[in-house]
Amino acid sequence: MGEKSLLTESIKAQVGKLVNTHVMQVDRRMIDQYLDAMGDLNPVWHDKSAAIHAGYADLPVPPGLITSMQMEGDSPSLHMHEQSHLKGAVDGGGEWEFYHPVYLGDVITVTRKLLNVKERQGKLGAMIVNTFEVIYRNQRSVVVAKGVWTTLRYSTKE
Amino acid sequence: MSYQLMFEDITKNMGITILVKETSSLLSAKWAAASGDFDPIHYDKEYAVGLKLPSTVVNGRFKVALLCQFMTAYGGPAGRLKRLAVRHQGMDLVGNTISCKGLVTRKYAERGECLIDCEIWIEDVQGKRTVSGSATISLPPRSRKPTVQGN
Repeated sequence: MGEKSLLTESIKAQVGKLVNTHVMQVDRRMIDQYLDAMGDLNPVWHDKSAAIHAGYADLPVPPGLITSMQMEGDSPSLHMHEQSHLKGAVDGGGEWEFYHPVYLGDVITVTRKLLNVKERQGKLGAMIVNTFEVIYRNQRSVVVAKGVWTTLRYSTKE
Repeated sequence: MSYQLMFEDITKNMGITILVKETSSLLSAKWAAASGDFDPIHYDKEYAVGLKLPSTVVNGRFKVALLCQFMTAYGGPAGRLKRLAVRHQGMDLVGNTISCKGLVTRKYAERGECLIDCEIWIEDVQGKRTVSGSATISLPPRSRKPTVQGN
């Protein structure tokens, strides 16, 4: 008799549904913490006059900060109760498109939807592969970026 | 003033300036504070091992951000990152040195923009690729000054 599937009906029922919405205002502290962690000295992110000289309207946010925006409060157990028993989680990868700059002071609403779930065997055992679509909108409801990525969840029990 | 790469300067298969990063527990802590992702697998070795991992691992989203930095640095102040795709192929353990590398695969104009596609990756000190991906950036041509971007 085979192993019991991780992919339950309750997990499959979440496909197509909104997982969570996260709203954040881009402030100086957020940008400074990010740039310090990255060691990114690009003057465009630090100096408004350099940014304007480079064609921006104000001090822009590095694209890498946008890709990490949904991480805050992102613990899967907070938003995906059906998978909360799968304690292990690793990033599978993804793709982001950047349409418009995000500026200091912008309020970004990040919405995350579950696009697809699959089960597969990996080095860490049976896994659920969650594919999410994430849309980033500013305070004028302009879509500034979109992302699609996968998170792999696995059981940590032997 | 930062160097500005121009569209005319690009040729196919041109290499991209390497970005090297030494990872550490301090870096993991800073990234946790910056991103809001406090998953202990990135800074608590005992916890990580308890989840079947060999040790603490570098945050995957940090590596995405590092590749964004790699590409925006290459594009210069007037360059713009339009797209970035990654596939995580292996774990990097905290404490190891990782390098972002890449090369130009295509140069073209589309919808009034001068674009280049690049193959990008992260490799460890043994040269093993732990992240593979691609990116598209726009570059200014010598014939035109950049326009101001609002949204």
